[in-house]
Amino acid sequence: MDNFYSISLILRIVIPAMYLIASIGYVKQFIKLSDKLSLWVKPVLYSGIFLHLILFILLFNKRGIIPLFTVFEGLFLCSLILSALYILMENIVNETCYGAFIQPVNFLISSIASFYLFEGLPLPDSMASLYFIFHAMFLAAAYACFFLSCIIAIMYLLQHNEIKGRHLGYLFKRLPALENMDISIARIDALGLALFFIGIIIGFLWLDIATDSVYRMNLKIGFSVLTAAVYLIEHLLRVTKGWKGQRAAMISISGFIFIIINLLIGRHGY
Amino acid sequence: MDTRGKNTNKHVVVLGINHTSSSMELRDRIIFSGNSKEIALEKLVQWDGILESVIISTCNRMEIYAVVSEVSKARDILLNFIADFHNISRAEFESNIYFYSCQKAIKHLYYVVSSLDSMVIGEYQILGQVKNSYRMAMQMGNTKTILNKLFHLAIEAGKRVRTETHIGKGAVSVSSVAVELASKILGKLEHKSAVIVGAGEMSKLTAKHLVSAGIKKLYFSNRTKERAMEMASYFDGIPIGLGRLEEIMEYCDIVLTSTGAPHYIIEKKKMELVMKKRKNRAIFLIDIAAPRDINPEVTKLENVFLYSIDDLTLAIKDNTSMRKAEIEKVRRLLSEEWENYFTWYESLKVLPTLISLRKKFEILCTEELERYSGEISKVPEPSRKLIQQFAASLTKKYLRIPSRVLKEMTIDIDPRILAESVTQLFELDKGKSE
Repeated sequence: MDNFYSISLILRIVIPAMYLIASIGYVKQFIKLSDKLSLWVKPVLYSGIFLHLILFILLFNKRGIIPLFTVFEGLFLCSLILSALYILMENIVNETCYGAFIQPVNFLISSIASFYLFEGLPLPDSMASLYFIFHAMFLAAAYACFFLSCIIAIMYLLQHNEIKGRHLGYLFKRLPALENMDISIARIDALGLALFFIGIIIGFLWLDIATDSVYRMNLKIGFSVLTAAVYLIEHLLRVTKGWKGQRAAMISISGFIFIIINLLIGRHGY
Repeated sequence: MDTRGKNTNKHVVVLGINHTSSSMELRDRIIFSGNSKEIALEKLVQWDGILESVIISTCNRMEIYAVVSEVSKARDILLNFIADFHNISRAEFESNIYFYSCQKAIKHLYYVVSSLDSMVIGEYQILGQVKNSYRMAMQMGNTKTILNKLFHLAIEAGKRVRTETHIGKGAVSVSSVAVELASKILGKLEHKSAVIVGAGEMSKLTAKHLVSAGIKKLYFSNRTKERAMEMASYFDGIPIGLGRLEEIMEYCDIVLTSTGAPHYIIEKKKMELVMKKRKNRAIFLIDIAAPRDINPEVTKLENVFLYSIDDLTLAIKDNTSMRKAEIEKVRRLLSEEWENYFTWYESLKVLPTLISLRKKFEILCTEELERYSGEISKVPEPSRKLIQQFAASLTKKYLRIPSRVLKEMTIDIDPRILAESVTQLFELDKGKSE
């Protein structure tokens, strides 16, 4: 048991540290407007992700079930998925400047999650079930998508401001193209929305089993439904009315505010 | 006095003409283009006093870099060569020529490859042009040790300037700024299309830049149908009537206007309809006309980005200032880099002495082996060979450190003094050893 806590303590320090070091590399490239990322940055990031996965597996091994019983464990998984999503995105769009914004946020999330990983009251056994596990997993993945799209949406608005305001200076030269960011936001939000809906549906199934009633509304469920509605509206307006660009970015950021509130609410009050 | 770059027998010189020293008409008369450069290189090496040569010839400069035995005669030799080759009298161009020798010539090449000497500071075409010129001269056998090393190091310095500074970043012409903006708004331009309204020089230049950036579909429109067809044929585009502009804007992501019409040809209401048809896809409007062709109110529309000639000019100013701010950094980098060349060059001066030293030691080694040949012959053949190898290897090892240190010392101590000292120390000027 001691071994586990010692190893997990080391990993809980090393993982955010590696994300921090990778962030520094990305930010340095962004500031210097270099064509290429320093050679050491990606290996550090990949190593951080690998160790993150290792710790997750160790937790799983210890518990005998996927560790998603506290908000911080959920955040821990969310951070891991965010890292993986970022790597996928970077390889698809072939643009490393996103890292200067996304990696520092990821470092923050992983730090909070790692610090409080063993804090918080776990769910009572009566509530724990596979349905809950899948519900939490899908939501963690959806939140990771929304984190990512929110950051890109902020970058979009910054670049949009630069171009509309005719400030073709520091940020203009460093931020990606508007259309590329808009496409990324649309795709990531669509993925997040799909995962979110699946997570909510599974959540209602879990609710039915755990509380004998699917209709037990609470603040968290209310905000989740609101969040889903916001992203669904964004998607529909984008497809039907052509709400691209600045408007879509602002809706994406608003949806994310609901997610933050949702996280702050904590657990369902059952 | 800093005598670096001054070898007793070989001197690097450059004779040239560029955009600051002459008019385009004069440059056109004495540049070497196409095949004439090869012929010139072939002829140049036959001229007395020219030991190595490279010719750089672009629309903005013509320079001959040469290694010569006598600096005092080099200017005349090269001037006569140019006059003879182009069948033009020296008097017609001599006053527009610049001539540098030794250190100044070497530093000039570094300034050229780093684009500090270019018409547009930070343009990187020159690096490729210098590389190609050097490669051609090398393949024709016009270069040897000195120019090979000089150009190799100068080109590396040019690459360093490109990667480590921002001297080349940011567009500095109207058309290139427009294309840069288009890329930042619309992303990759390969799947985008553009419509050019107007057939002036600026329209043509911007069309050229757009094509270079990857735009595949270009539409051309003009008051005069023939001009639109001429432009379309030149760029492999599609001519359209001005009346179809609104229809085409539904598909085109970039619109460049320079009609010079006295009224707006694109109004806000028209733009709203277009954006509806485009399902609000981003569109980039470039209005370089005076008076303006596009109502500035359109910029208030979502996903419509409008830039006038004034906006583009302001952007150019900012970029030019940014490049100028990098000049000092580039100079510092270049002064680091040309030190590498000077260090190598100075070490050349002790090369003959080192060769003599090695020969002396080899003779000593051979003499000692001969002295003991009687005893060595009693040893089996494989061991005999081993003894000879051992002697040769020991000789080389003894010389390795002094050779390296001697070359390094040329940075701080006059190579002639070093050479003299080594010669005296080892009696290199005497015959067989005693």
